[in-house]
Amino acid sequence: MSNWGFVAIAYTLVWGSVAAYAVLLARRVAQARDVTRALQKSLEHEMQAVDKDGTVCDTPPAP
Amino acid sequence: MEWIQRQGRLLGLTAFGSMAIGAYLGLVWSPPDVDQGDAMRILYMHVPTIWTAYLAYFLVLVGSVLYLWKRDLKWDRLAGSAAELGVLLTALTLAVGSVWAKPVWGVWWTWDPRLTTTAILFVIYAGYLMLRTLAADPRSRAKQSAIVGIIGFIDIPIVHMSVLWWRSLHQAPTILQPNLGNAPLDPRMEVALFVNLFAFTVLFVFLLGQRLKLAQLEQRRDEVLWEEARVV
Repeated sequence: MSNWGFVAIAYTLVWGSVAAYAVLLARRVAQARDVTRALQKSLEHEMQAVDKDGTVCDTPPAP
Repeated sequence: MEWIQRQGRLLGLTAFGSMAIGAYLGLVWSPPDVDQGDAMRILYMHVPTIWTAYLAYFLVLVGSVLYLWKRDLKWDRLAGSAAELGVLLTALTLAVGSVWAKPVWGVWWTWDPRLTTTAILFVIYAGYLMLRTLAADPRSRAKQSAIVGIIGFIDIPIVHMSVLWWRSLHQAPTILQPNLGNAPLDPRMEVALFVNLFAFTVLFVFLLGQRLKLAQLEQRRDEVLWEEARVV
C-alpha cells in the first residue's frame, strides 16, 4: 500500500469516529431530554392527584 | 461550564470550519517529509488527538479534586464527561499511531515505552468509565471515581516523559523541547500542525459541552424518578 493509502485510513478513522460520536451524542441528548420532560410531566400529574385526593389510588371507586 | 453548553452552535461551526482548513493544510498545502514522505501527514491527526486526550484527563483531575473539595455533583459531571472523550481520543491516538508506524517503522505495534504507557493510560480511563457504571448512588459513584481520576492522572507525566527516561523508538518532543537533536519543522508543517491543534481543541470543547448537557439531563431524569418513587 502507498503512503497515501495509510494517510487515507488514518484520516477516515479519525473523522469517521468523531462524526459517529457526535451524531450518537446528539441522539442521546435528544432522547434524554424527551424522557426527562415526559417524566417531569407525569410527576406533576401525580403531585396534582395527591393534592386533590390526599392520596393516589389506582383502584376504581366501588359502585 | 454553562457558557460551553450555551455556545454549542458557535463552537460546532468553528470546529467544523477549522477542521476543514486543517485538512486542506495537512493534506495539500504542507510539503511531504524528507524521510517519511506523505505518511508524515498522519501526524496532523495523531498529535492533536493525544493533545486533546491530555486536556481531557487534566479536566478529569480538576473535576475530581473539585468534587472531593466542594461535594458539588457538577464537578463529577465534568470529570465523567471529559473521561469519555479522553478514552475516545486515546483510542484514536493509538489507532492512528499504529497506521503511521506501519509505513515508517515497518510494524503496526511495538512494545515501546511511549506506546505501552499510552496503552496503559487507555486501560486506566476505560476502567474509570466502567467504575462509573457500577455504583447506583450518585454521591458514592462520584467519590469513588474522583479517587481513581486523581490516581490515574499519574500516568500522564510518565507517558510524556517516557521518551526521555527510557530508550524509545518514538521520537522525542520536537516543538516543546527542540534542543533534543530533532530536525526543526518546516514552517508550513508548523502552521498545518497548529491549525489542526486549534481545530481539535475547539472540537473537544464543543463535544464536551454536548456531553455535559447529556450528563445534566441524566442527573435530572434520575432526580425526577426518585421524586416519583417517593410520591407513589
